Amino acid sequence: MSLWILPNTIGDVATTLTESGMTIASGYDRTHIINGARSSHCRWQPASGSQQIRYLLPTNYTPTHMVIARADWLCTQNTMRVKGFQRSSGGVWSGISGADYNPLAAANLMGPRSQDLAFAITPSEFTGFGLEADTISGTEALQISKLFVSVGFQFNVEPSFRPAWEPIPKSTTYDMRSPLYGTFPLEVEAVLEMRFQGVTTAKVLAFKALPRILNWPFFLFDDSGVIWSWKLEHVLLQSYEINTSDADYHDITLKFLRLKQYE
Amino acid sequence: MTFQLLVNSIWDQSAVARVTDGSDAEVAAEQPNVSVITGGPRHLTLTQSGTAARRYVYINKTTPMSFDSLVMARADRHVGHSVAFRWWSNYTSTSTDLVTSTNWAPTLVGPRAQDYILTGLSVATAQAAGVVLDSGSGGAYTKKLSQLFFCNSFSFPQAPTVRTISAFGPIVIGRQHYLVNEQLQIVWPQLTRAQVNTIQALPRVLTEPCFLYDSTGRFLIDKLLHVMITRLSVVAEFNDLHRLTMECFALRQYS
Repeated sequence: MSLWILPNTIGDVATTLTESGMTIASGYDRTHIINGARSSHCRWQPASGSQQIRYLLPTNYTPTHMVIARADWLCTQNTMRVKGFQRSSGGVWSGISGADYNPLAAANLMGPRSQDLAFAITPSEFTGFGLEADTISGTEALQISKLFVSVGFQFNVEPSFRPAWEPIPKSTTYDMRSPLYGTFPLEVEAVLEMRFQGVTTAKVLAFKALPRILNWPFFLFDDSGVIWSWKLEHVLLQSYEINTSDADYHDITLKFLRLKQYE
Repeated sequence: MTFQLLVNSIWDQSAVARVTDGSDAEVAAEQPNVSVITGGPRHLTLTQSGTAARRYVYINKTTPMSFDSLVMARADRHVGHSVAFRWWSNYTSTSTDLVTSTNWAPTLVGPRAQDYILTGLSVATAQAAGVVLDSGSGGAYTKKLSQLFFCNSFSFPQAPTVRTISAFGPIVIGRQHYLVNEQLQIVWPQLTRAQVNTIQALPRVLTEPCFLYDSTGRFLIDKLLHVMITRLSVVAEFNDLHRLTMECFALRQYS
C-alpha cells in the first residue's frame, strides 16, 4: 500500500511560524507556506550557513512526512543541503534522522514538473518541526512555496483501478475552482477520480476528520511510484461519494483537482 | 440493527411550547423565540437572559401525548451541568424524570459529537414533556438551546443501502434556507404499503428537519444525522413490497 494523503497537519495547529539564521525578504509573508496556491510563496534574504523554517506546536505531534512545494528553488547554483528538523521539549532543535539531502539535487524532485520534494520522517522529538537548508558555499536566498509537515493517512486499500488525470472543462475566462468548504478559488489544471472499495467505517471517519481536508489543498504521495511515476500530486478535494451496502464496508470515490503548476 | 426516522412528533401533538423558570413560571422575555426548539435550521439557538434555571416544555391541554424517543441538538452545551428530561402526566404537579443528573455526562453522537438521543421510552399519557436545565456541578451558565424533539420514531424493518455525496451549499425548502454539507440517498428495497404510509404520514416529514438514527453506526457512520428530507420516492416492486428511496441532506454542523 503506497498512496498517502498528506494534509498540513502541523501547519494547521502550529502556534508559531518563524525562521532562524535568515531574515524574511521585504514584501513576503511566511504564512504563505502553510496553505494556498502554488503561486504563493515566501522568500528570505540571502544568508549563509544554517537557515531554518520552524513550526512551534502547542502539544506533541508525531508526523510521518514532510513535503516542500517548489523545492526546485532550493536546487541552487552552489547547492544546498536540505534536512527535516525537530524540536525537543527543552527547545533544542536537531535534525530528523534520515531526512537529509546533501545536497538536494534535481533527481530527488517529484511531481508532474519535478518541482516538489516529499519524504517520510521518523521524529524522536515532537514539540516542533521544520526545514533546514544549509548553504554549501557562498550565500543563498531560501525560497519555497509550501512546507507541509503531515500526519499521513492511508485508506489501507489500493485504488480500485489505475486512475488517469483528465483535463478540466475549460471555462471561457479562467480555470479556477473553490474548495468544498469555503470560497477562496485556486487555479487548477486537471481532475482525477479515485475509488477505494472496502474501506472500513473507522477509515471513512478518519478521512473526514483530516485537518482542513475540505478547504485546503493537500498532497497525494505515491511513495512507491505504483500509480504515478512522478509520485507526488498537489491537489484540492472536489467531491467525495460514499456508498454503504454492508456493515463496516464502504466504497469511497474521491475527485481531486490538480493545482495548476507554474514555471 | 436499529435504523430510525425521528420527527418532532410532540410538536404536532402539543398546544404550546413554553420556556419557564425553575418554578414553572413563564419567562415572558424569552417566550417569543421558543419556536426555535421545535425545528428549523440547526444554527438557530434560544439563549436565555442571565444564568437562572430554565425549563423548556411542550404542553398540551387534555389529550395525552406520546413519545418513545427524544433528541436534543447541541446537547454538548449542557455537559457538566444539571440536566433532567421530564414528562408530566398532570402539568405542573405530577412528573416523571427520564434522565436526571447534576453533572451530566452523556454519550454524544453525530458528525461532531454534539447531539444526544434517548430511545426505548414508552410514554403514552403525557400532558407535558421537556428539559430542565440548571447550573449543577459545572456552575452557573447561560443556557442555549437548539432543537429539542420528543419523537414517535419509525423503525425500519430492514437494512438500507446508503449513498453519501458531498454537497456543500444551501437548499431551500419553502422559504427557508438550510446550509448542508452532504446529500444522502437511502434505499429500502422491501417495505409494505402500511409501512410506507406510516412514513409518509409522519408530521412535517418533508417540510421540517428530522433525525436519522443508526444505533450501530453500520450504515450511518455518524450514527445520528440531522437531515432535511427532500424526496420520498415509492415504487411498487412485487405483491405488497415497495422500494422506498429517501433523498435527504445533512444539515451542516458548527462548533
